[in-house]
Amino acid sequence: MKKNTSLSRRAFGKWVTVVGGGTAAGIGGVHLLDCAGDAAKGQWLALTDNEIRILEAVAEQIIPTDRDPGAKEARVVVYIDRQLAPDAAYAHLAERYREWLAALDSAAKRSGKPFAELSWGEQTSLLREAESGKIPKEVWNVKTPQSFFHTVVNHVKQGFYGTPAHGGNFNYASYRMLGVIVPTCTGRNRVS
Amino acid sequence: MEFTDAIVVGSGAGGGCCAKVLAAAGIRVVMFERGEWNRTDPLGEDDLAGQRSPCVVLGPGPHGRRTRKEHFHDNGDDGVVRPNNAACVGSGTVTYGAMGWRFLPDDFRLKSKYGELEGSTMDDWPFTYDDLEPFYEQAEWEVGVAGSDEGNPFCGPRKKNYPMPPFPYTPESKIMDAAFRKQGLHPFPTPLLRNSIPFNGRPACIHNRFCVGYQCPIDAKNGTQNTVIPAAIATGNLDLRIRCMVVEVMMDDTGKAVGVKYFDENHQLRELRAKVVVLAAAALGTARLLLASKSGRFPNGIGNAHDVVGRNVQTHRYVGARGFWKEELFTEDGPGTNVAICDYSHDNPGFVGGGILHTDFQFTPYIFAGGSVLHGTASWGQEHKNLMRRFYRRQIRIIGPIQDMPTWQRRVVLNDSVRDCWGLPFVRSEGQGHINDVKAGNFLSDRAYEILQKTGAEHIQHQGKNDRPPFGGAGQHQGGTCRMGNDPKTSVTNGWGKVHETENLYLADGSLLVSIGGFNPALTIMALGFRVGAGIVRDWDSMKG
Ligand SMILES: Cc1cc2nc3c(=O)[nH]c(=O)nc-3n(C[C@H](O)[C@H](O)[C@H](O)COP(=O)(O)OP(=O)(O)OC[C@H]3O[C@@H](n4cnc5c(N)ncnc54)[C@H](O)[C@@H]3O)c2cc1C
Ligand code: SF4
Repeated sequence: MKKNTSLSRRAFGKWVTVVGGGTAAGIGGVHLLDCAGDAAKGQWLALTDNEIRILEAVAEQIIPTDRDPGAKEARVVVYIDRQLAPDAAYAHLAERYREWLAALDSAAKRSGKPFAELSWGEQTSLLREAESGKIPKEVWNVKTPQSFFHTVVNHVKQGFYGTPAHGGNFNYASYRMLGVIVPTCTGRNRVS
Repeated sequence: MEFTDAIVVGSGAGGGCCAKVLAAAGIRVVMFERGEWNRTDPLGEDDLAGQRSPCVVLGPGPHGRRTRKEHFHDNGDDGVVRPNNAACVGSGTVTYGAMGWRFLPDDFRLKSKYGELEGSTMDDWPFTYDDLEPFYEQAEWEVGVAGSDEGNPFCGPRKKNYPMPPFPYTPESKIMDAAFRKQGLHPFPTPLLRNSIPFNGRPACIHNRFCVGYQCPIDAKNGTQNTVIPAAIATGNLDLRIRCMVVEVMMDDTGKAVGVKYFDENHQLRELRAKVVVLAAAALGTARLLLASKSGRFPNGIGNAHDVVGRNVQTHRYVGARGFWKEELFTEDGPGTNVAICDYSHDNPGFVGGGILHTDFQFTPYIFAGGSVLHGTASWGQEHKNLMRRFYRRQIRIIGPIQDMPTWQRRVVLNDSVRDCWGLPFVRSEGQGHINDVKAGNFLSDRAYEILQKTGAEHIQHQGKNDRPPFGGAGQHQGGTCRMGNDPKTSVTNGWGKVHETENLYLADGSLLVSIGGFNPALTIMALGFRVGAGIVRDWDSMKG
């Protein structure tokens, strides 16, 4: 963390009171409620275990782990799965997600392996092909276009860079990476 | 049958100010609002729920089937709908960025200044800046603006100063202030509808990083919901009815509005009669109500004998440039926008109008992550993540809204095939904007680019440059659908907001704007609300019957 470490400590304490039963994890010794644990419990709201496996591999490609956590550690799939659940924000996209993930997986299986088991480089190339719609039509035979990838990219960014309150950004992964203090309304910390 | 003196439909910028004037003059007002009071809750800190990034939750109401957001089609398709402005008591003034601009004197006389603009319906207002000046003052003092005109040679004359001093500059604004000066431009502090000092019984701003798109958690941002509306309620003359959707204005055969039909919060269709009816449902909402209120005397909708309602719709294209500073600039000090220039608002080469440039609000990580960080770089993967880390805290950006030139073809119409749950058709927008928008936008973006270049910022990119005029449109800044004017063939209301073909039906919102200015429009809409209210009070004796 770059700056304001002491400030953010204080901030985290307040985040809990503000969000109530909101989110995740222990930070720098301050231990908080763990509610983003859908993943840990393996209870998905919209997707199957297999779909989650593919999505997680895709998400990790979009925001890879390096010296900072990537999409996987930030539990981006928890965010997306929650939003795809019935009545949630992206419920209307759940079917398209399923189709797209399945089609991606069959495209991967041309080389004998499911998407999640391809090498890193193979995964990247396949996603680049999908991004520009270059996977052959015979292989991609579902209604949801390959370019739905752009929507997935957007949602992965939401899950990684957005507030932890909705299931992603576990442990404030991106906020820590960018040195952003929490809670978001920093002014509130300043007056208290 | 229920009666009152006056009905105001919509509790946003214009409606709130108008209702206050009526109530203070002793006129009994019923104000209808389809949304409800917005509550400050933890979601105020949710960067996936702000109005700039409405991913998970869509800003303040209305929500749910009954009160779903106003939708419009912005690309001619029937299938695609997207949400519009806020809808709650105060509407966009609860969550806006709260820049409180006065238009410039020339904005009221575009045609006199520039002559005809081919292909555009651009025109003079039926009154001048000086006529509106007292109402700007009223808006600045009753709602509350912090600012200072001292460095701005372009602004119109004012009789009274701002009620509050301007906000201090962020590091980014300090750099821009110096850069503007060095280039002979005239920077000054962005006027903000926020408390820089305790004002009006509410505290001073505590500088949240992310403010635009949210209700202020400590009520330091000034909208109609925490100023004029409570003041109107305190007179005892305002009956605010929330969760009530007005679906029709009832007219008699003589051209008199007799009242409105509305669905109350229990979904019951009711009627309320009044001596005067004011529509302030925002530019699209007001046009929608006029068009949907068909009767024997007004078969094409009220005020629409000459097919003007819904036309001349205007919005704002945002343009500018961004670059990255050598060192970190990001501070936790919001809201961000601080310094502005009006040097390019008028008298530019080869086109009409122009716009301001100002430093922008702080970006949330998610908003910053959209697309690629630098032109030509990946929008995902390792490269994107590297650039996020490298540049998030170094952004320097100036942008501004371009004065949009109205056209006759660009308009909103009723879309009978898409209706809300009350059966009222949504509006669809159609028609192309004017090529002037492209010229002005590209010019301003180029200037922003050059200015940034001279600061020493790196990796500078144009923003909003485009070679095609905007299609359809009208979002958070919407105006002009029922413009004021002296000629009933080309305008919907007179200079006091009274619909031409009627005796007692007034409009008091962004629909009135003849031109939308190269500025965010809320303060001007508030001033119009006060002015329309003053006109009604003046003529009340003859209307009360
Ligand atoms: C995120 C955001 C940032 C903004 N930033 C700025 C800024 O910095 N500066 C600025 O000047 N402007 C800004 N704006 C724009 C500003 O909020 C609007 O221009 C202004 O509120 C429009 O005023 P109005 O009176 O025309 O309509 P509104 O304020 O939108 O009011 C219309 C009201 O009518 C209600 N209504 C509509 N139809 C019906 C019906 N049939 N029955 C009952 N009620 C109805 C709506 O719910 C709404 O409350 C911003 C807006 C947003 C959303
Ligand atoms: S920046 Fe100021 S006005 Fe905006 S939300 Fe924070 S305290 Fe309120």
